Amino acid sequence: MVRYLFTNCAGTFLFDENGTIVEHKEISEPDLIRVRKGDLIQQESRILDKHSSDEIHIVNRKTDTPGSGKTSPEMLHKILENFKDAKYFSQYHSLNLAVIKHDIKQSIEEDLFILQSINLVGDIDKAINQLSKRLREWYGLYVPEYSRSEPDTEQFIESILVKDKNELLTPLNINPSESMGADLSAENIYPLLKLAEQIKALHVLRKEQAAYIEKVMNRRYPNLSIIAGTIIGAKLISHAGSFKNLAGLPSSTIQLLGAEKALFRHLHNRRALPPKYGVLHEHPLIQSAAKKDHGKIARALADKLCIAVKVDYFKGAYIGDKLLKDLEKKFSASR
Amino acid sequence: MISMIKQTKLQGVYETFYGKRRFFATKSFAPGTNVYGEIVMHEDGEEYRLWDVMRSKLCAFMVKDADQIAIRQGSTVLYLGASSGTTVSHVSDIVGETGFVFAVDFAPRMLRDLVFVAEKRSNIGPIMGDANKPEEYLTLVSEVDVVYQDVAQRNQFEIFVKNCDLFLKPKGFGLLAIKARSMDVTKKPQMLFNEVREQLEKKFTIVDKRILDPFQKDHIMFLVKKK
Repeated sequence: MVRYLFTNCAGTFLFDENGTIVEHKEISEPDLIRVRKGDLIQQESRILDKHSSDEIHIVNRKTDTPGSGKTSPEMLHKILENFKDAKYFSQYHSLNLAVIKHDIKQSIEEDLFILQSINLVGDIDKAINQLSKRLREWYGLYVPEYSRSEPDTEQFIESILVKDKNELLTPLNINPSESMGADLSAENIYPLLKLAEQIKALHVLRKEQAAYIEKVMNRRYPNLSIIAGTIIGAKLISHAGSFKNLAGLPSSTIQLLGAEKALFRHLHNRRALPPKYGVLHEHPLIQSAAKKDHGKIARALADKLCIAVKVDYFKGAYIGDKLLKDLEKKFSASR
Repeated sequence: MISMIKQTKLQGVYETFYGKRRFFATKSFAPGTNVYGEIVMHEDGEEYRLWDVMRSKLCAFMVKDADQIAIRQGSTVLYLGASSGTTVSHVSDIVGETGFVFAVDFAPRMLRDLVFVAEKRSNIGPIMGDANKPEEYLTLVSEVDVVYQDVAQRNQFEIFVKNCDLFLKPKGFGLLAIKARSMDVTKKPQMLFNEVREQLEKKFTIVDKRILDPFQKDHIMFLVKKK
């Protein structure tokens, strides 16, 4: 007799050719997860043994399990008809929840941390920018001459945290009494310096995040990192959405990651020219080259990166340095 | 300002006025919970959740005067493209205790939110799966009365057919939302809609179709019946 073995979250079932239930056993959560991986579970083996004289087709399992993969679509429908029954709903609810929580947990990988971190770096840069502008404006009421003379924000903050008005103006050969800035009391200087402290803390946080990104990128994605650098590499992952996505992209897409606005503008409007590069534009090979070569280098870079990310995805050998050398030979020599 | 909540001709769907605007609403299957910040109203001891037409294509379909939506009390629904559960929660309200919604999506980030929704509603089974490979969730779903699809994929049509072939009962209904930009960003939407309609007619009877503008740009929803 022909029988069909089918396991889903309603349990393990043995059906006959009419779709009538011959055997039924409830299923536990760990067993369901095993079944979804493609394995045969104990209660299924027991049923197979019990009915060893029958010709048994195992539905929806790996094709190398004996007896599997021979169920016709019509038979499958007859089987599935049985499950549209309210008595199974609570099992569908609880087991689906259990399985999906397991699946979601499994899906979390290191590239997601990189993604969050590199996006944070962008957020921090914006915050530092905005707060620094405020700080300079405010500080301009106290020592505008210094505020104007020190363009580097980090250095500016370092200095104002340790030096007072006299110490700042003397190196500039300005007499403090001739300064346009007011003489602030301690009470009024305090909030100003507190702001400076916070911005300094943001700078430190940014450096730590960059170091974290560098560590994880070099460890987990060595080929990508050696060619693109850890920051650009992380940005590429971020634009692709995940490392898996990035590894599946063609090189032409990698070339344009980051230039989506320009790309779609071009696609919708014949007269708008297509972009030649996205985040790759920040790469040293492009930055150090003549403008007319930017597009060509971006294309070559993207080609090599396309290979590199695939090697990283399959955890293959380290060939990134060779690929990078090819690029440097081709483009540095032409300068 | 708030007038009575009335039953519409669609089973399980109500309408009311809030301020000057007309809203569709569903009776909450999980009173006391809020899924996406929706407005909640109480009347005669029942809780009603107002349906945001800008965030739900199914709602837009009804607002464009669809006569029927095939989803009713007691329906089993395969919902492809569940995302964080905005529309799924209203479908759950409609199908009620005697129905069930298998909510499938691919993105873990969205599914995380969906899990929180499903934990409060015993008629939702959330599934992490690729709608392109329905065999992979064969162990988690049953045959269904309705297949609802809202996935923004290039091969939307192929996905719909595969899932309907496998899981939709004979003479069952399908609701297919098509996003023109997902299929081809350069072609004119109307042309793409016509192409899809021609292909649908081969395997299904088209019961209704509505273009979802102005609520969703360049989208169309088809209601079809399995031949």
